[in-house]
Amino acid sequence: MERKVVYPQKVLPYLLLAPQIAITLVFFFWPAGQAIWMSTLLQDPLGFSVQFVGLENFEAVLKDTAYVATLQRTFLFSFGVTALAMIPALLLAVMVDRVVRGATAYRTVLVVPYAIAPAVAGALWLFLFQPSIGTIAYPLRLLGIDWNPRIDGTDAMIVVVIASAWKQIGYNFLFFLAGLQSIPKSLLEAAAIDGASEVRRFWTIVFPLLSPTTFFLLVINITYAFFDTFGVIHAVTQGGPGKSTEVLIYKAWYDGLIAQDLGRSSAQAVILMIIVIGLTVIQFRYVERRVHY
Amino acid sequence: MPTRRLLLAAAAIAGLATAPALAQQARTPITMWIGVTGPAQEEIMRYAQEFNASQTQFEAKVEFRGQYPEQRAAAFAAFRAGNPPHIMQMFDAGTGDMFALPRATIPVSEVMQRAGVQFDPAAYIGPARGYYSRPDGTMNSLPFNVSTAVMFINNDIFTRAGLDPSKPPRTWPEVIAAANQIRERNAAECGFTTTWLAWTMLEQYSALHDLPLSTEANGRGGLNAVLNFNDAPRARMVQTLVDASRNKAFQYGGRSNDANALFVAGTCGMLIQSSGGHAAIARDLKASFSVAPMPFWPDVIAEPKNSIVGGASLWVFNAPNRSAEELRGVAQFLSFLARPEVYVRFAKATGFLPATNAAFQAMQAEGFFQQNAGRDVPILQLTRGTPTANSSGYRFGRWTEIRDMYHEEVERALQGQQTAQAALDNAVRRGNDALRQFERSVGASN
Amino acid sequence: MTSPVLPALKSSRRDLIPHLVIAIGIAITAFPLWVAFVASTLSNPEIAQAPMPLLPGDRAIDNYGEALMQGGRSGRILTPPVWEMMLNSTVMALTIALGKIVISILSAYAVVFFRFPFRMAFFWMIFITLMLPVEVRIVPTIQVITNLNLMNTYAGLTIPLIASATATLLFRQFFMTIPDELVEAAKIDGAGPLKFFRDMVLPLSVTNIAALFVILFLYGWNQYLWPLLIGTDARMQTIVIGMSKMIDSAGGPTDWNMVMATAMLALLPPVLVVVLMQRWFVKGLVETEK
Repeated sequence: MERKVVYPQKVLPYLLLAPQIAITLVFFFWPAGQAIWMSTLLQDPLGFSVQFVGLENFEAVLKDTAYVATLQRTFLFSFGVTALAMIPALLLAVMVDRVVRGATAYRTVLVVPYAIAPAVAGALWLFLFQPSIGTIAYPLRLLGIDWNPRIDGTDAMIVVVIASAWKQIGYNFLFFLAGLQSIPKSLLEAAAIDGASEVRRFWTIVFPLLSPTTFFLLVINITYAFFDTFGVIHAVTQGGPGKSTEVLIYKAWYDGLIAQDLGRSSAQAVILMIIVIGLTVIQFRYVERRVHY
Repeated sequence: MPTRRLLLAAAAIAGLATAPALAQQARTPITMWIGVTGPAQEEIMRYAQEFNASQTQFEAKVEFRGQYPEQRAAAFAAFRAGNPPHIMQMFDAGTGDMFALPRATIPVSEVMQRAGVQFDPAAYIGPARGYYSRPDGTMNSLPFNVSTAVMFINNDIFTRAGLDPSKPPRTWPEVIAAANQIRERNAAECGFTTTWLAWTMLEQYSALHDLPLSTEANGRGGLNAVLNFNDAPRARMVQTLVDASRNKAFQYGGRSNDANALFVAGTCGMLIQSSGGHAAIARDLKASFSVAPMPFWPDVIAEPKNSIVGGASLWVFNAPNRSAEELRGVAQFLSFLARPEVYVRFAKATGFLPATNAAFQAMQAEGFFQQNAGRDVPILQLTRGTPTANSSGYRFGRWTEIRDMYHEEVERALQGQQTAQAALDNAVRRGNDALRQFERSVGASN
Repeated sequence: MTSPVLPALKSSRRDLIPHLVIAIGIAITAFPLWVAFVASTLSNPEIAQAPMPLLPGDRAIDNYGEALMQGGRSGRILTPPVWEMMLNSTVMALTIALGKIVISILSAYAVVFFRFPFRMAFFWMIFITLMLPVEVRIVPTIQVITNLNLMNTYAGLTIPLIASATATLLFRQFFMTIPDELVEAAKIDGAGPLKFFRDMVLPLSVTNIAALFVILFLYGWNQYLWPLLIGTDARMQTIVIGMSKMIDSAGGPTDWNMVMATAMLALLPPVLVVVLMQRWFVKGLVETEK
């Protein structure tokens, strides 16, 4: 799509674009290019010795069992966050869609966690799950559950998944609600007259019609779980205990910054870049289709 | 007035100002990045102010740029940009990395010598001198906050458990027995815990029992050192922790300093902790406490060796744009910090140890250790006997990361996912990968 | 309207289950916030006595006063006073939000209303930044910021984050819908591109700007990795980072009442912005689609 009527100036558009392009070049393209270049080098932390090693860093990273374990863990974490953020959101949206009154007020409350920083959300849930004093940990102890996210990897994973998902429910809720409200009521009424039960109507009519929204949210939530939850993990578990909450982003940060292993952390960065590109492409191809729909 | 100010400003800009009032501004700045927080940070800031008040040529600027690892990353980036801080405080585990990058720094001995400032490495307590010096005696970095690991005992919990706090357990069997008694008599939720797991249970433990961490004299002999701490005595230590955690005789409290909270809250009866934590324990623990040396296994060694130093030292960065004047300022500031009275004040305020023999003797002379029972335990433990190759510290690249590998593997053993032996085997295997990678990465520069 | 009573009754009974489910949903959503608020009004010994009370205590003024004015200085955790960190967060959030809006609206205007060589190349350059989040270029970015002497400056904290593909795409999409007739009319009136921008495009974009502002304010305020890398000096610390440093109490008992008071102060501004500007917030979410 192009405009037919445009302005003829030849210099002005470059001036208008200049700030954005300058920032993009200096802070995005240059460092990203550096990351790609560094992923092919073996160098000491200060750059006295630099050797070109081709794809060796990639080979080392992908053969590293610790990296593969982190990759699997990241998928598990993302799956947990996405499921826990989407299923309750869908349930709530269906319920709010059915009530006549109060939808706006409900929406206001449910969306509040979305405004909260991931690290702050992590702190709130860490506090609730603090073994000795936490308000949720206390009844768990009474039930005889030996709850301690500091020692038990599963417990730690539960805390970071819940904190990350809690923050995202309101966002998913908003989109599900909008999706539900755009479904023509006549369709549901017709089905009701045919005698279809409410549950049946949901699975045969509502859910299929919601599938574009669901798919869109799936991509958004996976992206969120992959890239925006660094704050939760850094503030709450530092990837531990063991490596039980270390996800890809955290590992790239640790290997690059703490361990100063520039080559292999750059290789990880490039792998992450490929993942982002994949997710972005899926997202935009889908959005394009949705425009036609 | 405005005209006069304008003129002054113009003069200053033109570089013509010679008035004494403006000479103040011509002080050469000396920047130092530090990675400690709390009382230690406040003390160092205070020394810088005093240094600035004591002379007119230099201005020391001490800045906190994040904790050690973050600060190191920032300093390395600044080095690559050609403008590192003059001085950087680097934690013990980073020492091996710095030794492997000799072009990045100027040895403290050399800084002092070039500036014509009196400096004698022999003034430092042996373990600190050994840890931060080259084989030829050149001191690479200035020991500043020196600590070692000791055991703190909650006297109230001991008494409740029917134990005698004046006779703290000396050996591991005694520690385990005491911890079990604490649990059986329900005197506390847990018997003992430790901070800095790798530092206490691997590094200090190995030094005390005269066991090597690697070949090549713990890495001092070369970058080709191969880790070999996966032997029976080390595995037994990990297995002991795993076994003791079943009945909470031992409770794991995290990789860094978090276990301290378990001790000061009265949850655990004993704590293995850095001597640098003494002041904080005295402030936070609502019970009386004792300090005891690190326990040992009598069947591994009859007389335990000295423990090793932890903490941090001060490194001087080398950069192409550094003037002789700046290096003179660095030397002045470092020698200001290295005076016995500063070490004494720092030790008293923080619980870190006096880094020089003179400072230790000064504290003894004024009766500090009589008034503060237990404060001499760490320094006596650190300086006892004759150090061996295994108790003179270690020098490995990427040790920060290798420590975390040890943490991760031992944590998995504590969760019952693998045996103690497997934990150490994995830590050694992964650690050796990191060492080989590091050796190759610095290869061409040395 | 034959029998108004019966359907109403039926619908209210029908509504019972949804209301119940929603009530549970809201309770779960609000519970952590309530407990955090309560903890921020208690003393630490009160918090330590499990189970912690679930009704506010009387130390609210003391705790918030201490956090705001002294921060972590009072205990063993060393952070600047919370008000300073809030100021840093405010500067960061506002600069990023406004900066992104300004440079994006200008770029979108250039791309849509002009024809010039490499126009689409520039557009794609901006678009590709979507695929280069900070997380995939941590180490080299620190090097660039250090080389430019921007570590621990407001400029370093904000400028690199104000490039925005999302905002540019949104404005571009909106500008496409401005009728050609309007541009034609403006040209006939002798309005140049800058006058047209000021008098027509900007006023038409107000709701889009408001919607973007809400989203971008949240984005800026809630940043974590970037200020962690670039603002290493305590003076440059944002409240989100400061709060997370307070949890790690360097081995002392964590002052949970201070942490929770700081957490409440850290979440209040973005929550207020969302609640007060809800209409624009929803619009912004739906239109930026991320």
